[in-house]
Amino acid sequence: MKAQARVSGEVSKLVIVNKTEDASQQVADIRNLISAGVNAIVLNPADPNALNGVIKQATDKGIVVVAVDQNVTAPTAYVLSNDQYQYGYLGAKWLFQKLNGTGNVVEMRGAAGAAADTDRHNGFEAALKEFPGIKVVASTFTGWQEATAAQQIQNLLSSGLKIDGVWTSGIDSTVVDAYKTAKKPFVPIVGADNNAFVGDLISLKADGLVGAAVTNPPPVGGAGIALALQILKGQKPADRVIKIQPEVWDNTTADGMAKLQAAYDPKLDPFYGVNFQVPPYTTYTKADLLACKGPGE
Amino acid sequence: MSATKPAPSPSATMVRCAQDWRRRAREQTIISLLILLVALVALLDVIRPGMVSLNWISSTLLYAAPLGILAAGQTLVMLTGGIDLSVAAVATAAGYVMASQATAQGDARAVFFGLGIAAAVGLVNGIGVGVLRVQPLIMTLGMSLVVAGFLTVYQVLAVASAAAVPGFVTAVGSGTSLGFIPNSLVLWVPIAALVIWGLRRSGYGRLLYAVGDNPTAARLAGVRVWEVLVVDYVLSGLLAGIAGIDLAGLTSTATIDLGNSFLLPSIAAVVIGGTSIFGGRGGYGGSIVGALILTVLVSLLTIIDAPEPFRQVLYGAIILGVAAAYTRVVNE
Repeated sequence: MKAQARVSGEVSKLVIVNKTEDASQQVADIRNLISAGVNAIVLNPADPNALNGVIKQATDKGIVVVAVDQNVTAPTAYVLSNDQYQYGYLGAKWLFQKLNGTGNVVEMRGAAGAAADTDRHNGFEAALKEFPGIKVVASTFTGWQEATAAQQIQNLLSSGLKIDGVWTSGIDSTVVDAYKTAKKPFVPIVGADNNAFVGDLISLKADGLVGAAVTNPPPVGGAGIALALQILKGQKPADRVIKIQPEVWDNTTADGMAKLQAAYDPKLDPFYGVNFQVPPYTTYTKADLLACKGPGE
Repeated sequence: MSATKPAPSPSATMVRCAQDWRRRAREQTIISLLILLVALVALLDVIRPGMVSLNWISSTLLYAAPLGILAAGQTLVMLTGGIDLSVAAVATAAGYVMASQATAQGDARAVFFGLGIAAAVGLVNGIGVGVLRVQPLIMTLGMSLVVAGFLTVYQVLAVASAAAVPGFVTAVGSGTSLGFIPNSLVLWVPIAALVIWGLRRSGYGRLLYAVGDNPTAARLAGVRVWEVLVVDYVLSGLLAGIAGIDLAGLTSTATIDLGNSFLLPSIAAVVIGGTSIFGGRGGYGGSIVGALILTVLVSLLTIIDAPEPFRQVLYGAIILGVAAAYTRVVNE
């Protein structure tokens, strides 16, 4: 967010208020921002409904409100988020096609009850309906925790279940590690565009690892700033809700491999999402993003 | 028993047997916990025949090690009637700082940094609880938030630092020797031996029980309670740091929520193991078996084909059941 605000050259001041996951606190923050006379508010909402009242107050005053990452139901706010349904659908479909439509699959979900997890699971289920020969032999909730996922996959590997493919909601390199530790031949694995997994897909391809990284760009905040600026300049998008479509980076095709190699950066955190651009919105460079400096800093 | 008493009636014998069993259970609580552990393992093998193998036992021990080490610190603190809610955040901080400093500072210094931060947080906890008399629950909860906050800021600074878990940490955390002996036992076994021996035989161990049993009496008897508590929380922090580094080795990555899922299990392991949360009673042997039971329970819940809410209810119900049954046996 800071990077995009800086490179746009159009933001005079960026006020950052960090209050995560608490809707009532967010309401208070937005009230303060309205009183402060801002032109636009980009927020990651804690709840789809709880902020509607205060969002209406803001838009009534002509403030552009863009919710990123999660949905809000307020009709006057814009929403820009990753399409989690498609994340589940596209990744699962790729996996089932790789298995030629038959085989046993493990689904390693995120946190029970999280909206993104539910959407991804619905996408997964939709893909499953298209492939009647695929059987889900185990479905686990990793809580997006590596240690939990590691123990689960290790138990599944020693359980004697026949596993032909693994779909993960993002705890991906952990599954690759478990196969390495257990010295079992790799099965096709679907993960997210996490740095470590992208690295695995490149470096372990020669050892037989087949997999795909489904993109889930984390810096939607930056894209939110870009969208808010566009709206302030009068270029309103056709739809109130904009869903960013994930891509599937497949290490068995030349195109996918090229994208994986372009994205991989051994200097970054293993779980840093490497797909950092949200076209056509963001215009910063990776250096801008990592510097994490806002306008005037 | 005197010879002049009449022979006991059959029902009296049964009652006495039952009392006898209770007494033995009270004395040998670890035995009953071990029986439960074996029963859970057997159940696992019934559900998925052939699952329980040397390999499975070895990796179960690997996964139990960080929890067991966390539970060691938690046991030491609970014996004084305290609690350490910062263990998960401290473990995360130690693992994450170590991984992010490894490339720039070298492996050994990175591990040292991680442990240093863990001990420092423990020291602040100890000063808060021991000297300033802050309620342990509040003190350690506050510190866990402080640590998590610092870590979030630090992550932004360290994101381009080529975080990597040192090779020897991965080898200890997730490797095995001679095919099946988990390497992390080189951490866990000495820690366990030291804690069990220290609690039973050392003067400091007795002081922990004394402070937990009755802090006023301990103070009147000339114990400098604040010193005991400061050392106690530093030890808990240090053990959490070791657990965090082991955990980073186990998952071969370090993220800023590395240890978060271990907070409640670290407390549950101690409570299942028979240490009273009011202090003064218990020991580390039970916590070890508690950690193993929880780890096997997670395996069991992964393997059974059941919806997630059912698994969660079962997990909670089993912990509650064991803790309740145990408390009854101990208190009668």
